[in-house]
Amino acid sequence: MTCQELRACLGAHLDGELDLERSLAADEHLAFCMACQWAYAKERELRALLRTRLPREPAPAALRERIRSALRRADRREREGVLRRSLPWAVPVAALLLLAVGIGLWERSAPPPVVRELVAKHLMYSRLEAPAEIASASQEAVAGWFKRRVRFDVAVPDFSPSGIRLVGGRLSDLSDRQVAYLLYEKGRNLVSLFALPSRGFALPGRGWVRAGDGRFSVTEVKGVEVVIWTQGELAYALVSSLDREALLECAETVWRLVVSRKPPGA
Amino acid sequence: MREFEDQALVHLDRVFHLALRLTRNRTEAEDLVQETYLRAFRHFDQFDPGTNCRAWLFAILRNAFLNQVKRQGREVPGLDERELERAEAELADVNGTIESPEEELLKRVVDADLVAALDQLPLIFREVVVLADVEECSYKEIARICGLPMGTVMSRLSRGRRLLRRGLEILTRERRRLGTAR
Repeated sequence: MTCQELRACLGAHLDGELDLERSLAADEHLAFCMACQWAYAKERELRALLRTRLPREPAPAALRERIRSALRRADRREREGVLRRSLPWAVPVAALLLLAVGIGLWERSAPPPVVRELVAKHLMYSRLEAPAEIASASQEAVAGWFKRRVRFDVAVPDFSPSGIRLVGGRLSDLSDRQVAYLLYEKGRNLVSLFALPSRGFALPGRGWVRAGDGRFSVTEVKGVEVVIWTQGELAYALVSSLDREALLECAETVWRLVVSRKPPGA
Repeated sequence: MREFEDQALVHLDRVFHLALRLTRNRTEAEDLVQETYLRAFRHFDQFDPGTNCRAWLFAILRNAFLNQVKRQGREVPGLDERELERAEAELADVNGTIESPEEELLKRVVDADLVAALDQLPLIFREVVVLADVEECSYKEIARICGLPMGTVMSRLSRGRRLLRRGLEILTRERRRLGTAR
C-alpha cells in the first residue's frame, strides 16, 4: 500500500470499515511510515475531539412532554379514524355502551324481551360499516325496493325537518319474523325504524304515553330509547340514542304518514 | 403506543442532537423532532424490530428536514453543484496548510468552536460527519440513512473531515490572535 492509497482510506481504517485484507495492509504501511503515522494520529485526534468535547445538550423536558402528548393525540385520532371509517356510528355507540354500564347498575327491572332484541339489533347495525342493503336518500327508491321483498306496504317517512336523514333500508328479522328495517341518521347517530306485521307480536306492557293522536310505548335501555306502537296490521319500533322527545316526534311523523296512506274506511 | 415509546422515545436526546446539527436552530430542531416522531409513529408498522431504531429515526428525521427545506424554497443541499465546487476549492487550500507546523492547534480547540466549525460545513458533509463521528453510525447505516452509495459516504466523510479540520484551525488561530491582541 502506498502513502496515497493509505491516505485515501485512512478514515475508513480508523472507523474499522476496511475489509480485513486492506486493514492489514494499512497497518503494515503505518508501521513503517512516519508521515502516515502522523496523519493517522491527527485523524484520530479530530475524531476524539468530536466524540468527547462536542457539547451535547439533552432534549428539553418540555419537548419530550410535547411529543408525548402529540403522540397520544395522534394515537387517539388514529383509533377514532379507523373506527369512523369502518364503523360510522361506533364511537357514539361505544360511548353509550360505556354510559350504559353505569346506567345498567341502577336499572331495576329488565326490559321486555322484544325491547332488548330491538336494542341489540340497533346496536349491531350501528357497528356495521354499510348496514343498508339499499343505500338511498330517496323515499321512493327505498319504498320501491321493499315492494317485492316484504308482503306489507312499507311507509318511508321523511324526518328531514328534524335534521334526520334517510340512509337506506334492509331486510331484518325480529323473533323470527321478517322485518322491514329503515335506517336514518342524525349526525353520527343512527335512527332505526323497524316495521313488521303486528300479529302475535308481544308489545311491552308498560311505558305507554300519548303523543299527538298516537299511543306509544317508550322504554330506555342502556342509553338507547325505544318507541314501539302498533297501527293497523303493523307494529313499528323506533330505536335510537337520540333523546326521547326527538324520537317521539319521529313516531308521530310515522303515525301521521301511516294514517294518511290508509284508504278511507279501511 | 407503549411499544413505540419504549423503542423510539429512548433515542430522543440523540435525535434532538442530530436535528440541532442539521437545522442549526433550536426552534426548528424542536419542531423537526416532533414531526419526526409523529411520522415514525404513523409508520411504526414499517419498522423492522430487528434493526436499529435510532438509525431508522435518523433517516426519517433527515427526510423530514429535506422536505422542509424544499417546501420553504431554500437551497436543496447535496444537489447544489456550486456548493461542492466551493468545498473542493477550499479543500485544495486545506491540503496546502494541513502539514503546517502548528500540529498542536487542535489541542487548543474551544468547545464552542467545535460546534461553530461543524455548523459551518455544507450540509452534504455535515450530515455524514455528524452521523459518523458524533453518532457513531456505521458506514452502512449512514448509506441507508442518507440514501447514498457506500463509496459516496466514504468520500464525503473524508472531505468533510478535512474541511472540518480546516475550519477548526482557522477558528482557533483567530481566537488566539484576538487573545494576544487584547
